[in-house]
Amino acid sequence: MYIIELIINSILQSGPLALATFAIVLIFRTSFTTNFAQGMIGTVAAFITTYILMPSPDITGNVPSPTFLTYLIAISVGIIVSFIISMLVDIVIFRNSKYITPVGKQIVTMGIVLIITGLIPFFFGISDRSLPRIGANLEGTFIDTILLSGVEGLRDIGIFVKYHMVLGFLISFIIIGTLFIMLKYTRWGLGVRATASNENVASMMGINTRFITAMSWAIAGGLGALAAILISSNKGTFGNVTVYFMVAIQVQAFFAAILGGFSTFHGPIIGIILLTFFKNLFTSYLNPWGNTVLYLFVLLIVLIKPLGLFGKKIAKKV
Amino acid sequence: MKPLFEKMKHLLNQFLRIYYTKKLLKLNKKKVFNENEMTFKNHQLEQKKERLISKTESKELSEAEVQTKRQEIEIRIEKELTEAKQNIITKSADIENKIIKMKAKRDNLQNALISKIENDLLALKEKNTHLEKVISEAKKTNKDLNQADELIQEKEEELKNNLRKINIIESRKNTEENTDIHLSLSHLTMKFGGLKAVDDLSFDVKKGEIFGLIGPNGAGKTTVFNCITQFYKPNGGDIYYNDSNNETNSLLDFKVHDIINLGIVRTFQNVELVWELSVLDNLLVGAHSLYSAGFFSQLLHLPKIRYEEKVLKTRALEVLKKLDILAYKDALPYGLPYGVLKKIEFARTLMTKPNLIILDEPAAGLNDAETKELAQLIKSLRDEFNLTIFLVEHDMGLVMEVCDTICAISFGKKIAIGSPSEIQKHPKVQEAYLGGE
Amino acid sequence: MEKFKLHFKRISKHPFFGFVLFGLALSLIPIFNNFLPVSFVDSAAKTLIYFIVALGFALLIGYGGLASLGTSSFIAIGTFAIYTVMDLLNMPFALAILIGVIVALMVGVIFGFVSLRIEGMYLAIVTLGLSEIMIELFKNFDKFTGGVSGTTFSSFRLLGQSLSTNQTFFIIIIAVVIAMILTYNLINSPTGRALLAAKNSDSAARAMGISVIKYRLIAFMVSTVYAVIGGMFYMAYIKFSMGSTWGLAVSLNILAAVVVGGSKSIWGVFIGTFIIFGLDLMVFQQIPFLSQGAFANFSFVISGVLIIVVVMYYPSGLIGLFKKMTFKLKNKLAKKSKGERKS
Repeated sequence: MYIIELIINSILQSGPLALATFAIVLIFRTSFTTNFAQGMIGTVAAFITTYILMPSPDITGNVPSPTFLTYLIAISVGIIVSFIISMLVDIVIFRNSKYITPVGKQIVTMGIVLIITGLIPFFFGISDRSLPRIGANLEGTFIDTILLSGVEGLRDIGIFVKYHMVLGFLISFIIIGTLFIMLKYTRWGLGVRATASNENVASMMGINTRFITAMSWAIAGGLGALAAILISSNKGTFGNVTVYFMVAIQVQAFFAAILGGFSTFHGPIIGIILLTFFKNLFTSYLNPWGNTVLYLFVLLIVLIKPLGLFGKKIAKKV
Repeated sequence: MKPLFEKMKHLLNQFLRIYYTKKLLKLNKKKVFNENEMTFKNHQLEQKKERLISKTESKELSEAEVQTKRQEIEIRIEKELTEAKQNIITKSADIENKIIKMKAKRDNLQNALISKIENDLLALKEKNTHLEKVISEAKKTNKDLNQADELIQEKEEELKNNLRKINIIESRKNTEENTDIHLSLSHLTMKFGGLKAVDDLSFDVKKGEIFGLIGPNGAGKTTVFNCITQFYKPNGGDIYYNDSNNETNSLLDFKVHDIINLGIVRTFQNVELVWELSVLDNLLVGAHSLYSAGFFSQLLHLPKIRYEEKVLKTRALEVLKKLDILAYKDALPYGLPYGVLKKIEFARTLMTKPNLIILDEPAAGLNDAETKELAQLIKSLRDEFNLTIFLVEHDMGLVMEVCDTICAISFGKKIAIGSPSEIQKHPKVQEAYLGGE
Repeated sequence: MEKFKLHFKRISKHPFFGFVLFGLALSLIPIFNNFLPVSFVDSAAKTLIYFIVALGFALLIGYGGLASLGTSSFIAIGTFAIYTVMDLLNMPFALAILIGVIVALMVGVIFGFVSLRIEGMYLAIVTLGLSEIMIELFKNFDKFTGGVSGTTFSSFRLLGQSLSTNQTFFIIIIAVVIAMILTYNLINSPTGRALLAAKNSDSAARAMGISVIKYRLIAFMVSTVYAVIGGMFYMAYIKFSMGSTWGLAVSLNILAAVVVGGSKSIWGVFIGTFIIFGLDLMVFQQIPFLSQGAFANFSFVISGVLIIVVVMYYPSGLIGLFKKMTFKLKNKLAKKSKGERKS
């Protein structure tokens, strides 16, 4: 029973993480680089959300729950800001530097990490901020009853899951599902797939690759923001939003992408689920060496399968 | 249990054989370096002589005195030269000894491999006679026609595959026996997904000839090229190569960066030079495989690496002079005329004294006059350095002018092979190029 | 006299001449340290230590075309290695270097090989993971690292003699000069050229007989060894190290220093280190308004903006810009003098 509970909880937990992973893969596929600034851009969104909800942090440690509507507005503002910042990165920086290499792009995103790290205390103060749980303000609504019955049903058969985790997972699931559908059926999705397989050919076929990449950056920024908000609010503790809180998450997302292979979209998603499961397993049995064992384990797998578990080899023209 | 053990042993043997072969090739490279050393010493002492003579001339001495001084210097230089020569000769004898030892080690394994191949060959032939029997019997007793047909088809397919395997093995033997073959492709097949880019392609390149591979766009020319240089590992078939010691190697045993040690160098379609390095340094990159100084020697700039740099720089200057681009030696390649860049790339390939040069569309991006010049250059290089040249080309004019033998392919399959005039007349080639009737 | 002049001219043209001169100029700082504020001397020492680390990183990024985010972890390994060997085991400095280098090489080979086998870009991802692992390790190995609260270093000994801060400064200067010379040797050797060739075109390099992964791994190894040595001098001089301070920000700042100054030039790396670390430590940190509160990380913003501007517009870094400017100036002057002569 314990192992089933662990599996279910891992899947629930990996929902918001999958958003961050998907964003990384999306950028990798359209811009051929890894975006290190994604976590930081998400952190900005989390800070903005806390700022709108609570202009000054509560000292008692109690996180008051705002109303559903204010919460929604706060989250939306955060996501939109990240969306715009991320899009600007592509439009202002990458579009204006013609001969930039993939590693050059990586370095630019690292520069953005530095800028945001420096700017956050300037805008939001030096103390850590808190984000309340998202599920705390749904009482009495239709979603609440469904969720509550689900959680209680599981509890009856001996599996304990947390209400807000289920909610976070559902939101992530819906969004990732929508994105997969978009990838398959919309013009943007077609453009992304074409750009991913060959940018030059795609642009020759009349696909507006500039729009596609800008949109991908924007969507990735929005996803990163939502991931940051969900993850920090899931903790529900005082001071859960700090400058560096997304770094560890970002590492997980990257390793999930390596584990699943950057060449597909579904691989990394499965990768993050596996990674979360093993992380929980290792941290409960091998504490305090959980993370160390986990990442070395991933490296071992990558050593055997360099392209990841679901990676496909792409023959390069020489 | 026993077959598994045999297999493991075979794999180990294979690994060791390749390892020793690579060592042998490295020793061969040392030999090449030794040859360069000789020219370097000559050059160095020549300069020294001039310097000394000019020094005596600058002093105010009588004619006779200058004469005697001169003779003294000449004797001294002569002596130093013979010393240096002796030194290099002992060094090369040392290398020769090492080669013999390494060869003995390698040959044991090589013989094991050859006997295994022979056994395989016999087994395959036996299997085939058996298969033929089965097929003929099935044809005789065709009670249930449909079932028999399927069986016959299956067996015939197997027969064909076996025949191909036999052919591949025999082509190895053929290459071993005929040392005038330089490169031999045998039933080469390369698939991308379901698409066969190269399909069962076989041909031989003779020593000292200029061999052209032509075909319309998408015919798989570049894929063949990349299979030879091991950028792609082919799905079927084999590629054999006779190196400068007339030893037959299967190129599939090597990695991309080992190919140059066999004496095969390639150029690229769009010139791939290191833009941040001077022309001279680019040539030294081409000579990378000739360096033997280790990491610490390089880190501390020890005499060994200094000496190697001097020797190879002399070689680079020699090559640049031969190609008439010495004036650009300190320039950065960025912004130089395209024709010059092509020449620099040629010069880079010549640094290691290769036996086979493969050119990927050498005329791409050149105008008519430049193409003509290139044709002359290719021919003169072949004659001067005793090279075999294999080129993949689109420009029919160049191919017809320089090549001794041409192979035309279409959709990965060979359609014709022969001299330029034969190819020009060949109906299938015309069809492939002009499309239908 | 004439002969001496000629001799001097020949020596002054030697590439190492500049490095030695630089070292001599630097040694003015410890000589006159009584007249200088303590904070200035300390900042200078820190800057020089980061310069050593940056030199190794320059080989990785400028020649190998690879970015790593694990630099600070390797510095930390250096600090804890010297603490363990010299303070806990009471062994000489040479052994500390040996052990530190071996540990760094082992860690580097594992992470470098796995990532470089796939593609150069993966190195940054995997080393980011490495820094996460390392922070956990530093926390758990509290015997050697002091755990969460960090550890202090008692005294730096060389040949059995305990060195003063000032003497340590001299040792650091010597190390800087040696590091510059070794880096110069390496970038002008077949290794440096092979790295550039591989950065330029992977396939062309391999066709020239260059084993790309081998040279990339060498570049990564060199950068880790420089970082470890830098970490040791950090501990020898600053005498305090805490695992959690060696996070992403330090790695990113070193990257910034190299990129901003010009990753292919030794002097460029120095300029970059001076701008990113030197200015911050010597000037900004000394101004209370900028060193506390909301502006505490103000220098990060500068570093970040500089990185982006340099990558976008001046790929050869500030040194490239200076060279271009002096070249133009010279041309202008030459033209002017020509014009004057004509008139």
